[in-house]
Amino acid sequence: MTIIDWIVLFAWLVFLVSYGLWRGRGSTTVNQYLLAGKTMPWYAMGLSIMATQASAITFVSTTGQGFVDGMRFVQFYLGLPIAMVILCATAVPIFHRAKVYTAYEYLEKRFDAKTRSLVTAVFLIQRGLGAGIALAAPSIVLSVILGWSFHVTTLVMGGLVILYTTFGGIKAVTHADVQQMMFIMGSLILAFILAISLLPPDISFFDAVKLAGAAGRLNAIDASLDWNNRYNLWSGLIGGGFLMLAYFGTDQSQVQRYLTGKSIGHSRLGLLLNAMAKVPVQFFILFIGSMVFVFFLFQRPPLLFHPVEMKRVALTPEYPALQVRFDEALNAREAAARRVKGGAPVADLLSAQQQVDAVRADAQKLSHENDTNYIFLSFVTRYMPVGLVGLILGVIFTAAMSASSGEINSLATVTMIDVYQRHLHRGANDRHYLFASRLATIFWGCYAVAFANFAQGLGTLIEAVNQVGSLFYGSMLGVFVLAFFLKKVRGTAAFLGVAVGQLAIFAVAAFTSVAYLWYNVVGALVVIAVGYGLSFVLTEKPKTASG
Amino acid sequence: MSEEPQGDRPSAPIDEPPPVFGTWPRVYGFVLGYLAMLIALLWLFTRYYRP
Repeated sequence: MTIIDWIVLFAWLVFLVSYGLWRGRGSTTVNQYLLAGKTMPWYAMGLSIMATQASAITFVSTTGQGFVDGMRFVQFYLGLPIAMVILCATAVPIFHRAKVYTAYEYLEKRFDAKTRSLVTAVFLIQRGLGAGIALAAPSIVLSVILGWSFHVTTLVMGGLVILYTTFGGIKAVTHADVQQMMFIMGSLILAFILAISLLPPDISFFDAVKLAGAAGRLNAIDASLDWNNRYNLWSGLIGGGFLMLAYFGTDQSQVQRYLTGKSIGHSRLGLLLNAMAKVPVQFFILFIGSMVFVFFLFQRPPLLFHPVEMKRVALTPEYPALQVRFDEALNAREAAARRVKGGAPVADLLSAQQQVDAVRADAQKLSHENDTNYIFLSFVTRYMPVGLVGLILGVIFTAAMSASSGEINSLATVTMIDVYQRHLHRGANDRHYLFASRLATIFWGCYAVAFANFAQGLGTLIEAVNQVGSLFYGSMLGVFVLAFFLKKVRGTAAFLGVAVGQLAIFAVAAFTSVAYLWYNVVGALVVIAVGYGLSFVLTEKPKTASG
Repeated sequence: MSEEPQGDRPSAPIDEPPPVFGTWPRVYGFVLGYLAMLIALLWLFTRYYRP
């Protein structure tokens, strides 16, 4: 990076944190600090929700997936619009009318304290793991690209997050997210334009799309029904739909966003903005990855995109032979691509691509790191103009901060409302709880930094831990379905339903090869079946929830 | 025993009609129709460009 890129990167960080602090000023009550005093307009909520999901690792790995695996990952989001519609019709008005700070507070109003406590514990475990990973995963990538140590990267990132989240609360987080989301989209559009403009003069945009399709990179829809296939139309619509229902309907990091809305209507519009924009945005990000793939058909890529691993592999005795094979495969692929552009069949291109993939796979056996996350960043740092490199890296840096701030803020809210206020210190004044909220934010921020540093030592386990989140959503969704729709079900039946549902998910994960998106379906259905079934057996007094 | 937490509480919600289409169910119908159109376009896109 040049000095100009560093200046741009730091200027962007200073701007975003200052802007968040400025917009978050005046959060002098718990209601303002945790729910922005319910003053947020729909577009701010919608963009903030999208920014929280678009974490840095998603940003860099999604483009990498487009490069390596094509566009099939877009199907993961097809269930999202359905989930948003269901939540707009159910959870949004119910939570608003219940006048709660957290989703779990509603469970006590509807069921009992033990069900609320169990689901609160599930959330804190799941999100607690996620908070550290949300810092660790992008820090690993950014520390390599920026040349910083991992500890410095997590400390800078975590420190800035703690600063504006602690002082400004949800208002600071939401307003920073809005800026963040707009800059993410702007940066992606610039990257897309640049990838197209850097193609050889005889390759038009339409030629590039044709070549991406010929290489199997435009596989957006797969309608075959395969339970073990992670991404197809059905796993996206059904499994993805359940996951999105659980994530937006039961995860406090999302529920808190739409509870900040000025009205029920604003909350609904915020979610529906996400419903309509998410699939096209993901399509666009994956499409950029596909265009970067086409760019590298004509521009010689490195054997490995990870700069440190590339240097390490280059010192191994296997490297010279690998590089020779790689060069030959690249020459054959470029020649085949030009023939396909001229109208020849695609078989030669696919065969040449297999050769390239085989050499890269052999090289990756000598490496210790996932190479996919470095593809887009390698493209940015090698081919973007001065200044833009700093801006895009800055945006990726703050995307990690955005995801992390949302998680820390929600963890602090649940800790304050569902643990401290409910079980440890009742009846204090608002000022006391505001102070406790800020302390909880600092605690979870420090915890995230510490856990991130511990998680780095887990190496490839980070990816496994990252998927652990999907082990909990099904049971959380199930208990809220019981609460919203099955009035016959009371507290003990719901509590036992969650416990059995959670065990069922663990069993499916441990003893079957079912793709993880289906865990959410299994967990939710077991909780509903057990909870509803037990409601016929257990005799409990009815309880009326407000809302 | 259920007890209301102390301190400042969120205000009572305001419900309002959507800015377009008149009712919320019609807005939901529009979003689901939009999803169906997206899936159809993605399917056509995949078919057109498949190797």
